[in-house]
Amino acid sequence: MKRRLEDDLARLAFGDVSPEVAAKLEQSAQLDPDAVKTLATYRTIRDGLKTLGEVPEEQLSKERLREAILSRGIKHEQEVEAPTRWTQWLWLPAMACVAGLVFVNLPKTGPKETQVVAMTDGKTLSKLHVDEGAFRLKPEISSVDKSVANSAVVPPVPAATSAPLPAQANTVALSDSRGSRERTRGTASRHGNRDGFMQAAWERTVQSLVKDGLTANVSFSGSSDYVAMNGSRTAAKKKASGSVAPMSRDAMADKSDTTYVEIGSGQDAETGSRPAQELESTNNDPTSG
Amino acid sequence: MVERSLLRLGASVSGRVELDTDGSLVKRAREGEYGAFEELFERHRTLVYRFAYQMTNSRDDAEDVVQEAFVRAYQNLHRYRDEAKFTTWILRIVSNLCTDRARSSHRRTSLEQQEAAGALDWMTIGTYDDPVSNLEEDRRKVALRKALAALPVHHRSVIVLRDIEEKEYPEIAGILGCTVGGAKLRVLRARRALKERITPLLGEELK
Repeated sequence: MKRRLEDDLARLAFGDVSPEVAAKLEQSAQLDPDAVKTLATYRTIRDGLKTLGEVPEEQLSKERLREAILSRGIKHEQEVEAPTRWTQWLWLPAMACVAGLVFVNLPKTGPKETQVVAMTDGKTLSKLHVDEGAFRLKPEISSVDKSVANSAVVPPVPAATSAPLPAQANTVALSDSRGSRERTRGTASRHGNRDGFMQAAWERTVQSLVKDGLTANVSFSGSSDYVAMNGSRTAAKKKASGSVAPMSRDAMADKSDTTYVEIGSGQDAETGSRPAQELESTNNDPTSG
Repeated sequence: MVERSLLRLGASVSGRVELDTDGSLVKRAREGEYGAFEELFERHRTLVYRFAYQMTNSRDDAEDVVQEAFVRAYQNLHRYRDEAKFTTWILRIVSNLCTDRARSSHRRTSLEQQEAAGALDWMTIGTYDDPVSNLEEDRRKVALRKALAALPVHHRSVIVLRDIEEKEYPEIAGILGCTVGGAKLRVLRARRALKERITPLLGEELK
């Protein structure tokens, strides 16, 4: 039997067709024994299903439902209106924007550019840039022109650091790339460093010796207890407490072309600078201050 | 309360019962009035129980389903859309619950349980005046119950709704979440599936 005819017979048996269609289907079904049998089966099912409508009496009660609700701990309250779809995802970019604004407007605590000015005979020679966050100073002075250094382009230096130094000011010895050296006195001023250790070191240390036409390559490593001057000299300084920086001799020996300078704890009354003394040098060139 | 009583009085006088519609009861229940929800329960629990019983074929299971359905309804009253009928919504919850139960209990139904149910049927049927005819009728009913219970839940639900509870197609469509045409098609397929299952059981009688 075709599926379509069977469906029509099912509709006929369950009364889902109009009387006209029902009459036509009845007539056509009489000609086909299978259709008659199918129609009888569907009518038996229909009558049987109607008898299934009897159900035993239920024993539900309001008290039972209330107990079920209470046992679940469900408190039906006026629920907050469910967020619409656009509000469900909009808070993400909104929060990102807020976070970005907060980040931009935060007080700058990261690397800060600071000036260190080295003096020779009371004159400003160069302006150094200090990376405060990394405690590393890379002045990157390839050459210093004295005329430029003496010009008014250099920002004003605090009087305490730009004044001519007395004899016992902190001294740092440097060498130029040609191996010559010269002693000098100077002060360095460093602004903006909030680290007490570095502040004490930087405020009182003479940083460079630069002569006309010479090349200086000076860097300071503030993450250790040493002020390292790469190139030809490295200065070792004392901690603020006065103890000697704990660097082993072996470690020093590994630095084949390095000179270590100890910076004393005493301070100059006028400038606040500390004396420096060479600890070891690979080329036996004395450097002291 | 006084205002509500007056409004009810006014509604009864004017012939309108707007406050007692399912929608108004749902609204009051949403606002925290638990009595309104209890009124909804009292109003529709028999209807819901009948459907649940036809789906589970067990009074205890049906009561559990009804209780669970009303608990979930109470829990999700804020999701109820006012344009839908409450009965449609609650029957849909029952249908979903029955589907879940059928999935979870399908593997648990053992042969021993089925045999025990058969023995119980043998002991409890046949209490009418004409034992022979009653036996035939009961045998047909039992066969139909078995065939109906063996149907997949989606077929069973539409047979129950249309041919046992005699719901109209639009309401069935609302409960099933489909169109009226889709409901008609589902009913047709379910009847066909039921016929295929019951024919072996009623073979002698049909011949």
